[in-house]
Amino acid sequence: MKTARTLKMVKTVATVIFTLMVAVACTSQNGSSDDSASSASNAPSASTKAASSEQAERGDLVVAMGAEPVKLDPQDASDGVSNNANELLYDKLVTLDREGKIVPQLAESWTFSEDRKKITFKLRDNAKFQDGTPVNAEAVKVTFDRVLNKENKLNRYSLFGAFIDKVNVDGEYQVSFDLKFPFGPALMTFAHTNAGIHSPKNLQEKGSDVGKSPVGSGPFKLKEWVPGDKVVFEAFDDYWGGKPKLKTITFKTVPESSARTIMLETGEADVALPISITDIDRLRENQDLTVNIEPSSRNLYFALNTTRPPFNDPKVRQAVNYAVDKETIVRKIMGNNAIVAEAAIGHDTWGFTPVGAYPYDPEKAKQLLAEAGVKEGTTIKLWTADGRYLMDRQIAEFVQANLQAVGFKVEFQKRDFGSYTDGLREKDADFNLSVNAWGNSTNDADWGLRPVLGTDGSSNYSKFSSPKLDELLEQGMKEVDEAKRKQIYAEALQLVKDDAPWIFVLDYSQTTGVRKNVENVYSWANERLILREASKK
Amino acid sequence: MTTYAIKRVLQMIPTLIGVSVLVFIMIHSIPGDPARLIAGYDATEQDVQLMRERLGLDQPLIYQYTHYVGNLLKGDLGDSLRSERPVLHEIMIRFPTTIKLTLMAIGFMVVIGLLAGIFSATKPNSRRDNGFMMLSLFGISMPVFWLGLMLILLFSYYFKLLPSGGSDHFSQFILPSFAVGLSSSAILARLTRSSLLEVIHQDFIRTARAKGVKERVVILKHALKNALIPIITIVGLEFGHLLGGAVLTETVFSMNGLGRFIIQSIEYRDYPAVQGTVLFCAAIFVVVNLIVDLCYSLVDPRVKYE
Repeated sequence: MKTARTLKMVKTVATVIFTLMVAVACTSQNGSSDDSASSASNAPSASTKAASSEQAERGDLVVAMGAEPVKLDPQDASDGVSNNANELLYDKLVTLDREGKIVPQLAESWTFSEDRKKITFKLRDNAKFQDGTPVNAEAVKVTFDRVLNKENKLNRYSLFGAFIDKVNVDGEYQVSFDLKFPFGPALMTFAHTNAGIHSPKNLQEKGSDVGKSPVGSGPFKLKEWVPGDKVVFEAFDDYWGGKPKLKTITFKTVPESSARTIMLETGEADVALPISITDIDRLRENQDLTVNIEPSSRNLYFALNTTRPPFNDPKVRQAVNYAVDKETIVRKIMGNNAIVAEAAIGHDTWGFTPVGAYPYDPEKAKQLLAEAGVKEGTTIKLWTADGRYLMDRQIAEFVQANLQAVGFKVEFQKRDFGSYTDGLREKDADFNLSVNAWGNSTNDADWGLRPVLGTDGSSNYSKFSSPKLDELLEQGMKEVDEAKRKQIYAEALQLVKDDAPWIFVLDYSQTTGVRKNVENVYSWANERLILREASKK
Repeated sequence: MTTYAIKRVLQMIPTLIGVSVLVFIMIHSIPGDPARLIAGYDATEQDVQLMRERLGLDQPLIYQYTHYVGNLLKGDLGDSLRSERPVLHEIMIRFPTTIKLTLMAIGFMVVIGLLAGIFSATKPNSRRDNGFMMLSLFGISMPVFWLGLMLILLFSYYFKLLPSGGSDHFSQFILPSFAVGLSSSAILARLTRSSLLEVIHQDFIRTARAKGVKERVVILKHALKNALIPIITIVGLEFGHLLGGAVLTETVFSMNGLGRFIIQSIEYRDYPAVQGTVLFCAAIFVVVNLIVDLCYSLVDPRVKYE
């Protein structure tokens, strides 16, 4: 009786398990048929190759990113992922080449007036928007007039409003800009992703919804957008620069970094970024992948609160620069995927001159602290975000130990990013030093220094104010002679180093994982992923 | 029972009003300025001010609240500050993922939990019982994100059987719902075991056995039915919990669900998105609770509602 009962039980369980297994098998069959479909597009069979070699060459690229685009409107976007997408959708007057040099895009050539207060662009006559309308001077004017109108309250108003006075249509394919003053980084700003040109027809039809249904003249157009999940771009075959080499590009939103890495390893994604520092070595051993380590204009520094003791004394600020072991941070925490900062702006920023890092010298630090009269055991408050910048908290902990070694008592405060920078900006904020990073989106020294160290800078967390530096920054902004500009910034960087409103730590690198069958994926130093020329075998 | 149900539905209204007020106060009292977070890290002071005006955040708080409640009464949850899409639209894009994950997870939980519970209870203190209970202790103690990562490693990375993440195909739901289901089935197994054991020792079970009813019928029809009430309670609770609380699972498996949306909205201080989503989840939770309560009387005729 008992055995019969047990037998029946076992039978029931077996049936349930079997049903489950069948279900799993069915779905995994679906999964593998998906795989075979995608591998078919990877390596087409001979017959499909013969039937349509062009179709076979053009692959579908899947890119796993940490976040999703917010707005596909160049003048209203401020986040990196939106800008990566906008770089596919929109052309600009000028752009950057792989090395970061300014090259023509929609404009074939440009000239400056004698007083440098007017730039005239001659446009190419064969460019079309994705809705079929022509790219002409009127489209450029409509695009810039829209952002320059303060009433429109677009996110990038001040980037352009700061220096452009008026846009003039000089002919069907000639447009000129009257500037408020000779602006040194003007061309750099026109090469910024935020200067993408809209189709006026689309702007008129979509109004404020243009960020969700964009039309530009770039090589890819928007096909599908599932908020929170993915954005799909499709090749624009009438692109003036020739047919794109990919059929579609999909941006997948994958916030968790280990999930991104696994997708890259299993082939569910062809490109993944950023790759976490701890995964890089393991991925390098995988034969199917490469990890691109590219320079970035983002640096990491500790803003020293110059309005509060003890860091209101430049000597103390210099002392803590000697006290921090930058080499070890770069080697051990960053796994050599970063470089020690040699100035307040990154190595790949226009206007960079190496003024040298403070050497690691705790004895010298102690001596300077003694000279400045800082007592052993002085308490200072260190604020850090956690996970906002690559390895921020880990670096903050290391620096805490460095500073304690020269006699400070360091109180450590970790904050949620939403309230972090607001707290730092408060006039009487009671921190002494804070971890910050600055990504210079224009890649020009002006934007690398003015917002973060100018007296009125919106992200001047050190609350640093030096009339001499303000004067140099003003000069640099308005100087148009490149050699003279460079000289001005060299002087400014030296001044910043000596006055030491920061602990200068490191310049980040960009880490992008790419599968071996994908080519021509690269990034500009301003953290822009460029996929326009990418192809997949 | 119909009167009771209507009464309960009416009672939902004050509950939801309470939730909406609480969420509004809570999210507005966290420090952090959505205008600055949306304008971006390198926005100038002027840009941030323009953004504040555009989003209506320069208005007094009391105006913002009346505006919010006014819209709510019209059934409008407002627009997300960040994406500028209607919040209801954002919710509806993600809700199918969440509900599918929840239902499948509940499925795994009930199958695994009930079977384990029944097996244990029918042979208390045996090796089988101890084995299952130890496993369930393991299930309770194991963090679901760890289990998720292990499943990905095993089934996606090594065996290449199932995709590691996403929420487009049915196959992408198997691993995450199994991970969640297995973790929660542990509690169900223990609960089923104890409540079955309690029932099994009662007189009517002895009577049934004495009458020569088959053991399987005794357990499944007589005992289990009487032990179901606490089980339904826990399934209902788990259902509500999973709706907004499967954040870790959604993150590990890159699923586009409501939990991840709430967290992202809180990070960006996207007030309307947080308020709308929390209110939506609260409403569903209340409805599920009502269904659970009504189920009691179906299972146990002694429970009567008037």
